[in-house]
Amino acid sequence: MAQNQKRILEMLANNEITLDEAHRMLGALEPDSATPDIPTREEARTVKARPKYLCVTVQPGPGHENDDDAERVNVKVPLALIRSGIKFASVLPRDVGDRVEDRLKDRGIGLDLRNLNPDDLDDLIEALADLEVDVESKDEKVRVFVE
Amino acid sequence: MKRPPLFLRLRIHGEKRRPGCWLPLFILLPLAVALLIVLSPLILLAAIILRRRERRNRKVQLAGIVLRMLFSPGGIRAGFGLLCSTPGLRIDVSDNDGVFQISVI
Repeated sequence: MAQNQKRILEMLANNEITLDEAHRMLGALEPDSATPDIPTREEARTVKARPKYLCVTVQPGPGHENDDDAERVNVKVPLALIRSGIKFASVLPRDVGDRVEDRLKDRGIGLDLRNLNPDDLDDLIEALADLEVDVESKDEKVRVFVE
Repeated sequence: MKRPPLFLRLRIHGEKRRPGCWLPLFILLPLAVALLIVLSPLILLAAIILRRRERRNRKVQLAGIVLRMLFSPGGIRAGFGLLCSTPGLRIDVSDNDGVFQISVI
């Protein structure tokens, strides 16, 4: 790029191009005008990483008497598995899907399996990046978060 | 990039400690697919028979549904997608009585 700038200045010095033309040509060589959409390093730091896992942990609480006999749970589920699960639900045979929907409706859940769209989940998954649930009782400490 | 799981690590023991086992899925899965292809005429026949009888028994009903999903147009693709999403899955439950650990790598 430096060579191009030097050549433009040489052309200007030799009166091969006018001042306005040199200005325009130098402007075209500016890195900012060529790639305006690339974020700076500071901007890139502020962009949140896309969450990949839903984690659930259960640890003994502060009031638990003996830590050795306490139940510990550590579950890490890839969010891609949820998306694939929805895709898999969409291939349910029609009559089976109807039966599942009827059962869910009986329990007060109105879910239309055919209208589930894995692409709509992306917004939900992005929103999950801020999810953090902490429940602490005397015996147990439950934490749900995404990472 | 999506890829099928390579290993399944399984560790289940009670009070007496036992080593876990590593299942090489990268060997087992192609074998399972080959077996499925070889047995596919029989599976298809079973699916047709189960479809007629499936109202009587719940287990037969479930088997029929699984077979019909496997032979549906998007079933294989969706099943493969589900399989490829499992790497990273980890379930670890332990208490005084024992340990249950399963992780897909």
